[in-house]
Amino acid sequence: MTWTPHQQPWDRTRAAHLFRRAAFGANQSELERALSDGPAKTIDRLLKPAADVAAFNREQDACETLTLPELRGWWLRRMMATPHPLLEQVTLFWHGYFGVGFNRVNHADLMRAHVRTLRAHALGKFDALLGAIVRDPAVFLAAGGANNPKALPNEYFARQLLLHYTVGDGQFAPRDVTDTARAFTGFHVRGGKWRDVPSDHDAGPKTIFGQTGPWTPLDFARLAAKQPATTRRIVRALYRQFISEEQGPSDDLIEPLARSFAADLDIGKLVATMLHSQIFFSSPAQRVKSPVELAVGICRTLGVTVPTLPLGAELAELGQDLYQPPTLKGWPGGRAWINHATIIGRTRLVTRLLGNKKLFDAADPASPEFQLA
Amino acid sequence: MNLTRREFLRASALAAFLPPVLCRAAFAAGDGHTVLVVVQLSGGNDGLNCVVPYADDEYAKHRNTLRLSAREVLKINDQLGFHPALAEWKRLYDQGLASVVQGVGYPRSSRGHPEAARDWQTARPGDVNWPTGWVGQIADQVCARDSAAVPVALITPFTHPIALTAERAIIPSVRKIEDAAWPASALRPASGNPLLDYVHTATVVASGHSRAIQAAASRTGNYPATPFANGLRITANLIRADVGLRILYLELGGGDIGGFDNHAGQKDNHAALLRQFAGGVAAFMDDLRRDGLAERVLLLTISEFGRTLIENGRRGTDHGAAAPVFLAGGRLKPGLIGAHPDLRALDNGAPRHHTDFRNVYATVFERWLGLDSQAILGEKFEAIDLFCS
Repeated sequence: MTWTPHQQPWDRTRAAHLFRRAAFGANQSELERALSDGPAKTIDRLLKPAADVAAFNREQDACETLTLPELRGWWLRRMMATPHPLLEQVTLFWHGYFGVGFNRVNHADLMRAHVRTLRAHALGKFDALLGAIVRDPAVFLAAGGANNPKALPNEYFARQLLLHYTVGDGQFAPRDVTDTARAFTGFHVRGGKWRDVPSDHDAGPKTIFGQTGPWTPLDFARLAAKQPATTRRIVRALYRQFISEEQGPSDDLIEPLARSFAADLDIGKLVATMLHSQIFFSSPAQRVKSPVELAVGICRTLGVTVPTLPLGAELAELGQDLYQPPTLKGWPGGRAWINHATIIGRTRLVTRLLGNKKLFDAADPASPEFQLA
Repeated sequence: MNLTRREFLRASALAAFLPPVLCRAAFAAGDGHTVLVVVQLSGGNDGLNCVVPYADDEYAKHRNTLRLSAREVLKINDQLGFHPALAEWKRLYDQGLASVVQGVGYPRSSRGHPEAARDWQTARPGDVNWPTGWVGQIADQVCARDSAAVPVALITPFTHPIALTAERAIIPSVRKIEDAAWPASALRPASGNPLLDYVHTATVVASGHSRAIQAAASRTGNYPATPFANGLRITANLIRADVGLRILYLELGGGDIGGFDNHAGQKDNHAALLRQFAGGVAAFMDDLRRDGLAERVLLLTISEFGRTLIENGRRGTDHGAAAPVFLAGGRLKPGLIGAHPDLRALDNGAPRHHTDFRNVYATVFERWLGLDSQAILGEKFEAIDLFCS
């Protein structure tokens, strides 16, 4: 199985699979349209809808209020109503990837800004995303980076950036830690606000990933984004998101995608390659829907919205508290979503959301299939 | 409809013998189903108003409105007595079902609520970046072996405490026993796809657990009509159901007004909390004993700090240091453990600790839960003699 585009006959099952993975789910008319348009055009539209997405998101941004339960509720509403569901799905993916949570940040306005940053770059260029991340106060607070004094560079923060956001475990040297920490000196967060102290920045030369220069946080982002270890990691993470949580992909499968991703760092293009591929369409029942995906999926499929304040709280109890991933590692996903308690809560949620079971094909909430994407 | 009904019956028949087997497999790595019940006393519990040094002049001198006389306390010995609101606790204590570890604290407490609560709940004092709670860490260890297992539950209403922050485990909140009721009517047979089979097995086990919990709830004992006692009733039912839970976490006080943070008007408020605590725990132990379960259960209290010896002029006390840890259970070495802190050698106005709370944790992890305490605490802490052999 490879990344070459899928050639099998286009049918309802495959179209539904595409929408479940890339748009939370499809309603009847979306499915009909996908069937008549064919896969290529449908995937193009999932990536770039005709609707004015920017206007929709501006409208939603204006609504967002600043308590955590309300932010959670507004995001769920946005996911249910958006003309660009793939953008929200990938924004949610990055939210888990960066693992920035209110429990560490303690400022709702910073959390709101963080998720908006993720959305702005979700399907754009990864170096631009990482560039925004290294200037995001929420990230600094969540990853232990509030203080970066020149006199005592914050190596803990540097290690978190290397370990969780870029090259990953075993892929960096002690020098990368010390010099990344030096690159961040002079950038602090105080009382939930940026505090740049240029005189506290170490402007001397640093060597990060073998390259020497007077690096700043932005330089770190630029250098780290294109490291082969980073691009492999992003491809693997997106593989888990779109294709399979069950079997880790072989290096042979990841390598060509990681190489082409390294050339342009274009997240949208990488996602498109995955969605078009043979392997994507051959992977049913390889992922467990996250609680948010499960609930939003049902609402989008039925074309209904539900009160999202209580829904947000309920999803938190099922293990996915929006704006509050448990740690910097994000949500583990896969089988971890399902335990002997959450399976009861998930089934209860689905039963209630479905209300009238007749609306739904194969709508037996107790069926294992129902929990999967 | 017929088909669904048939499938349901078949699944039910399967479930009838499946859960206990899977349950044992999941927790075999433990040590025979011991259960830990953690009660978080939010706000900083005044130890001097629980285990009262009634014969000590220093105590009498500094406690103007809170002072309890030799006649008022429930005497433990010629120096110490329990607060009169702890009458039910005293009964457990006299029956050998309760003990008290005195003088528990830790070095360099900031004496701020969020910081100290974080220290007790991560068990990594001073490490502000430590990501998980100690209960969450234990849950993660279990879930790394079996991702469907549920070793920990939070008995609510109560927001998720830091102690329960886990990387991987999803810890359920149980508000009422009906939350565990299996809502669906149909179970489909297994399929051959490993992931579908995983979900199916989890479903079958969960519906079995659900039935066990409902059955256990029908045998519940008598409890006082307080939210805390009701939480312990749910806790006892979950223990009785034997569904593999190893740690149940409750809270008393609410961490706000009416809680343990008594800077003003402490006397009646604290007495009411102690009465709720003692009444609830006594009913809980009685309930467990009726079913022969007391020997499997250890109840442990934690609180972010004790309080100052000297009253603050508002008929209350301020944030302190050491305080007693209360233990209840069927396998305890009875009595007082460790000396009462010397009120002539205070730590910034409050009783000084002589036992680190991590010594208590290490004992509980190793000797009660059968876990490697060093892996959780990051360093070795000596165990204390808490249990009957």
